[in-house]
Amino acid sequence: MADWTSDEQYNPPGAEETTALDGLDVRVPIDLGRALNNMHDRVHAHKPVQSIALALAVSRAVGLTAEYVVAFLGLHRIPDGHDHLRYWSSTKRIAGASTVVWKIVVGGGGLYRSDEIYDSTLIDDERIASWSTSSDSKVITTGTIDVSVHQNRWVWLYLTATNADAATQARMLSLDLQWGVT
Amino acid sequence: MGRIGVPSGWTPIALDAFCQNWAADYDGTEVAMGNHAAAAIAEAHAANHMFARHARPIFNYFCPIAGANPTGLAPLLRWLYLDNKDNERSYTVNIIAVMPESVVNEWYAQQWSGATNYAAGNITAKSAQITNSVRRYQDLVALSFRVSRGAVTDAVVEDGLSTFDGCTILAVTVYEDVLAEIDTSIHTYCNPFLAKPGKQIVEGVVSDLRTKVHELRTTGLPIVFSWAAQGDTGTPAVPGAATGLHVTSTSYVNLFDQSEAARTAVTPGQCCQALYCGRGKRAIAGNGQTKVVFRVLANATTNNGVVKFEGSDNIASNLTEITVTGGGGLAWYGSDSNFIYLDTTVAVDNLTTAMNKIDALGKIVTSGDLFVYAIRGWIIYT
Repeated sequence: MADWTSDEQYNPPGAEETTALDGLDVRVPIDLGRALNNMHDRVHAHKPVQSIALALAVSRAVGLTAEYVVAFLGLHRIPDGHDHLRYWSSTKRIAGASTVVWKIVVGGGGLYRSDEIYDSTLIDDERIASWSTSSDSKVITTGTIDVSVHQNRWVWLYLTATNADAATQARMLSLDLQWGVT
Repeated sequence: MGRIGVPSGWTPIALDAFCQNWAADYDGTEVAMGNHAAAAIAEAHAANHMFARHARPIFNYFCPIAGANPTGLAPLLRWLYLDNKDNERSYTVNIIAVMPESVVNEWYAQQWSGATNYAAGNITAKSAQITNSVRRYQDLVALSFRVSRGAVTDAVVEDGLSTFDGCTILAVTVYEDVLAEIDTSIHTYCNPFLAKPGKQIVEGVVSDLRTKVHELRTTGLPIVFSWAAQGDTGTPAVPGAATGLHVTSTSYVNLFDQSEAARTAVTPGQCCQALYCGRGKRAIAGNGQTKVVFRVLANATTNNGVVKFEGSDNIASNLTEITVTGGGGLAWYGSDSNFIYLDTTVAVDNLTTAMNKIDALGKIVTSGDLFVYAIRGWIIYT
């Protein structure tokens, strides 16, 4: 029986088990091990890193054909044991007919800082996620981003956008990021 | 005082081999094994790893450069959190800012003086550096300062950030500081040395593990809804601006998109994953959910305002309403009685109304103005 699954919810240790414990009950350490795996993979390391509301923060319509930095998402630590990031975005095209491409970028970008967080060798590909907004109605998109940097390092995250013609404008209503979601 | 080194990496725990009660001897007979202690040691180290290295993001914020406050504001940002985590008793406020185009005095950021754990020394470096014209790539400056929380209070505490003399902030993330090692006189930990190799697990060892693991599981839980305006006194026109959200509608509107009157699959809200984050067997009724409580920093100028939070519709009546007292002035409103549930059975890529997206809606009763300056929601263990 595999014991490392984290696809079980946490079962709080019960007092009755403690009193019954005679040193030979193999279920006790196995249950504790499952609880720890679940806590690591499903609860404690799954802290949302950025709850980026929202319309007011990024209500500025994107109307440029060049790539445009919409927002800096801050400086984030990659939790131990996790090297991927899930995003949820809510966007809407409000003018024009072309597609707006959004990207979340890790590191780089001319940030003048000399320590490890700006070491571009930590990052295989700076542009680590992109998705598009091609609808005039609100659309929620989700996806997973693989971040090839060392765990427990600090990374910069920021959001950029590009559209195919200057007449097209899109708006991001919300963007949420969370480490370690499988 | 002792110090325990903490494993820097995490390895999933697989205890089958450690936990066999019996093994077949060479002649086919079964003999008792005496290595149960190995399981307890592995679990104690794993628990200590989480005790020391599962730093929690406390707060995050960003603002497009065009909307950033270019002068200084005290407070610029305010946030609440539940201070119930024994370890990681300090956190670092990380700031990305741009330098101003001119200065009279040196510019800097500092912990808000109204914060629960305010200390005058919680301040960034001061600078007189300026730029001719602000360019969002070239003129960024990374700033930080550390806040010590003191002893755990098991209470909701407030913190905030102020800026002065042209410090123009674009992004803030506040992270708890990880521990390189555990100090046994200060920190909560599991003692891996209680379990002696070659001995069976004894009740004291496992009881210690049970207690500490449960402590770990029930405290320091994620903050799943976080939003803050710039300052707490803005009175922008409806629907609001970076300085606050403004509602005059007498029927509910989404705080972040007032063209929406109800939660749907595509309305703006706070998304998060909660799969397997509950407790107990999910098949048992009530176990497939985990509770989120809310607080709102708001001001209803005349009549009562109401802020409503609504979550996955897999759970019936999954909403809560916080009344902002009319004329009650600026305050944090809400209590642990204001909660909704995350559905711990919903897949992370679910994009229907069952998804764990929390919408925030607001309205005013009869007439008047509701201003919202900050929203916080965190998971509590129940």
